[in-house]
Amino acid sequence: MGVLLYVLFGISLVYIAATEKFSNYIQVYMIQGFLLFGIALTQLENFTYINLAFILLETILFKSLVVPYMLRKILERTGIRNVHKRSLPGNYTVIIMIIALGVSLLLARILALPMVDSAFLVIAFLTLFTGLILISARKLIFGHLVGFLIIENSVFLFSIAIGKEFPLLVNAGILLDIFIAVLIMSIFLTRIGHKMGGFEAESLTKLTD
Amino acid sequence: MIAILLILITSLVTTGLIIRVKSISSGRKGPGIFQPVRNLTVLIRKVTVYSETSGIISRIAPIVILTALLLASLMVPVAGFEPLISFRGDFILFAYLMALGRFMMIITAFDSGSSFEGMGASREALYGMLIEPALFILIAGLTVFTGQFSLSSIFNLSQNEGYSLVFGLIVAYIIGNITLVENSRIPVDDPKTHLELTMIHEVMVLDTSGFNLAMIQLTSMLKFAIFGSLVASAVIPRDLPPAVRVALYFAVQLLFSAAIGFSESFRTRFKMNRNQQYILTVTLISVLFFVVILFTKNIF
Repeated sequence: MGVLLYVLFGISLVYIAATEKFSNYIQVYMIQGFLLFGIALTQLENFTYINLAFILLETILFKSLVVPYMLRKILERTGIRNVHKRSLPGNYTVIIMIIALGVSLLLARILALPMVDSAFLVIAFLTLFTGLILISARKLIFGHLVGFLIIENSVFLFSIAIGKEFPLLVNAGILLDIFIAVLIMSIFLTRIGHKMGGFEAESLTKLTD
Repeated sequence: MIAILLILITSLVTTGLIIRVKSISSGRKGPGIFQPVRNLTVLIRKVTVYSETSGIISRIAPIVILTALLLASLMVPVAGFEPLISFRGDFILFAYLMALGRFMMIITAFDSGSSFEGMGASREALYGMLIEPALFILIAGLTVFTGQFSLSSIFNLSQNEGYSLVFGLIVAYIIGNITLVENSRIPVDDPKTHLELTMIHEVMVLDTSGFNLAMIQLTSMLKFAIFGSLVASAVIPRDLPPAVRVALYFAVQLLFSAAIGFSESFRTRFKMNRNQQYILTVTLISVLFFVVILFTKNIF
């Protein structure tokens, strides 16, 4: 079961790197929330009720329901649909993903420790790289937002790879990060974006006092 | 012997099934399942017309392509039935025979002297080159998983430790996508398009007629059956009784054709410049699968 979730999570990363529709980003992010919940359930050994409640809150409620709902609202308000402008052509994005997978393997090999699950370390690194690729390859700020959320997923996977327990402090940190990211980006997209005449990340450089 | 017989039977019905599924899902009565075979018999009786600029290549290529594919099909395991040809490293010969078929197809297109066909040949060469790593990485992964080196043993997946149906389904998914590219189907190419500028395979056979066209069409049908058989071999366990395996084989072929038919009914062809991205994505999934096998077998 763990391997299946692991492969599905990997495929979801491939899909999010290749797709050009923002609505697909939201769907994949939602699916990743469910997959992370499954991964956490199959991997973690020492559960407490508080831990389980936190994981449930973070993955299913937050990642799969609340954040996608907020992202969908942002899309409705802004009216943006596709990745119109990209810093990199789609082909290069996929090629970079293949290289990122190789680098992830290498890093997992270097960092191999008895207490670290290498398989999840690889997928965590790949998730981190996918987030970075999305941020650097997409010009519209919505792509950056999703990239940031994907990086948060990688932090979640790192914590699973390293320990059999899920530290509450890390959990709370991730939740706070996601909340702040979505809040700031949605303010930019829905409130400031129209005034700036676009939703490109470059517009942020024009911000002054 | 049973393996090749099953492949030949499947090749005669797969294309018809896809067309039938497409017609049903779009609310049309559509042709029968054996219509492509009837078309073949008509084409075989027709005289072949050659372009004035064409040379010997156009005359020999259709037979060479069909022979290459027939030889390749002799190496394909079918639902646990042993193929006629099997040896260590036969998958390399299998890939090369498939590549030989594509190469002959490309030079035939150039030989006709038509600029349209040259354009199609260039696209075919590019997509063929891009999809080949996906097939090789998949086979490399399965070689690591099984520890075997012939197609027949490699696809004996169910006998290996760590195998589950999900594993077989992922292999089937990758092979399914390779099939779409190899056979120039939607979303890479649209076999029903009327516009030469957007064609890949169809534009390469614009100047091919009669018996030669029949051979090319037969090759396409055979290619479907070969990949369909690989899909079946990935998901059907070998320890079942032979009759059950044959029944399951036909069921898988039916599902495979229906899946292609449905996907073609509800999907559109990609813009030409997005095809590379799609093919590279298939390769990336194949690489990911390879990595998973490394971990499953504790090699990494």
